[in-house]
Amino acid sequence: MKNRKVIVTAFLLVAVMLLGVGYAAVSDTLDIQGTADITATDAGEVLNEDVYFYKVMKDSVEVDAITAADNLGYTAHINSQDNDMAHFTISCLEKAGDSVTIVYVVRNDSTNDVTLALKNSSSTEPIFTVETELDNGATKIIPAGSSTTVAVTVSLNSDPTDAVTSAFTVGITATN
Amino acid sequence: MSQKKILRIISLSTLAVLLISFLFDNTGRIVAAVIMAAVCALMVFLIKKRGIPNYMYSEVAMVVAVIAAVYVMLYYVMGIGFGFVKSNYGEAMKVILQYILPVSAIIVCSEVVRTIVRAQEDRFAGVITYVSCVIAEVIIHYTLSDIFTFRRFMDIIALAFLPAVLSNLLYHYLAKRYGSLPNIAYRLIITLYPYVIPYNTGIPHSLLSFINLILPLLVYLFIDYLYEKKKRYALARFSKLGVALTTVIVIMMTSIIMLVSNVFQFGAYVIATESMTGELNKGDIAIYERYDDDDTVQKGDIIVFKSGNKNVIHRVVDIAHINGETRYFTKGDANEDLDVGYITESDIEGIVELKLPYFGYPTLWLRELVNEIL
Repeated sequence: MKNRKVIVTAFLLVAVMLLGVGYAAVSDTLDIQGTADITATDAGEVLNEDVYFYKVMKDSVEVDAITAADNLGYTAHINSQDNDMAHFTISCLEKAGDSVTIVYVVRNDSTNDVTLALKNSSSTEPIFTVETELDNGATKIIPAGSSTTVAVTVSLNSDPTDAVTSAFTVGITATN
Repeated sequence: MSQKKILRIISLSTLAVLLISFLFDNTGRIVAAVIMAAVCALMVFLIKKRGIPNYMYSEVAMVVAVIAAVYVMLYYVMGIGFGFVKSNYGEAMKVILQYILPVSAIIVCSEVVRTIVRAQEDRFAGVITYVSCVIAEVIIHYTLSDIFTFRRFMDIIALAFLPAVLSNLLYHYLAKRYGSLPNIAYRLIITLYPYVIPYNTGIPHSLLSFINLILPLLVYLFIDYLYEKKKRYALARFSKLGVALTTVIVIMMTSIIMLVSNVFQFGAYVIATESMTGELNKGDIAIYERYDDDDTVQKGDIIVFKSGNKNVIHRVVDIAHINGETRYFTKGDANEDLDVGYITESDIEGIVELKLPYFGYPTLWLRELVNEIL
């Protein structure tokens, strides 16, 4: 009889702990944080100062940054300390199939044309896909003294049933 | 062939067929009802030995029926606090054919089978019948096709399987002593009321599953106290250690359920993101105190708030009073940018007071594991 009591008590305890573990509320992520960076080289020599993120495109117009006040569901800005880095924060993706495209303007102040290519693109979560127009070996040429746009598209692959965090990076090389 | 062999063959076959019917979709309930009816008929005709239930069986049946009715009443009284939700079982004829009739058949037949098996005093058959009855009770509510998200998986475990394990211990106990009538009376009320009353309450599933776990234990203690006089215990016979241990366990269980249900003064969230790394790391549990009108949120507080259908835990970095409205601007400590937009007092759920480092990892692992399988 005593053994049965111990077994039932132990079962109850384990059951409640299982309830606690299984039903525990989980915090959600609010924003998806991303970073894009450019590494520019000319015959092995770094020339980062000549090739950099210049502006962000908003409704086909070049702006310094897209902020929360613009109400687009994302923000995008260029790092004020290092203009080889651009940051974006996305909060508008809710369900599978949702996507957002952020367009940066990359400027080439050098005296030579440079070719932009994708160095790496990674996401910590399979629930997101990050695509750029430099995927699959595509390249873009920026003539000397000119600029071009680079688009980054983030898509949700499936409905986020649980909390997800994602920090992804897009690395771009610019070579002469 | 001996009665014992027949009994064991029938019990094992029942278990196997019930396991298969669990794989069905909605028709699993009807299949289980047909199986239990067939098994019941076989048992009645082939197994001759019957037990002689205690003469108090009709009184016990009435007592447990009253307990079940009180439970149902309290369930709907709690709805006053938690709100009501309309059931969506469909039109009356569909409810009767798909739910009430098969469920009633499962209950009645499984209790007759259980009583016959308990009367044989064959431990092996008793255990197999117990497992079959647990599966039959789970099939009443869910089948395998219902498991398509982690949440549903937890509902099946917490609302069906775990309570079925404890309830069937109670039913086995009652069946041996008082026959099938008390179990049938109790189970019909406890199980059929959602199909008869067109509303459910908004009681959180975590809280409801806890109540369903405790209920069979309370019924057992009550019946044992009332009718099994020789087993009455005087309080003085409990050791101090036993009392202390029981108290600790009860407090622990109650605290877990109160925190997890997130409807009491304090609640808990598992941190599943890295946006607050440094202060609240992934895998930590954040304990928060519910926010009400008397509370003041200050800059620097870490708050729990709703953003759309998301539950977010971030820090308040700025507060502005605009057009008579207080607006809170938030940011994850590890995020580059402020959160998009702002929140108001009505969005705030609570203020984080405490963290339990690493305690949330079992939850994250369990979810990942189940989601992988699904």
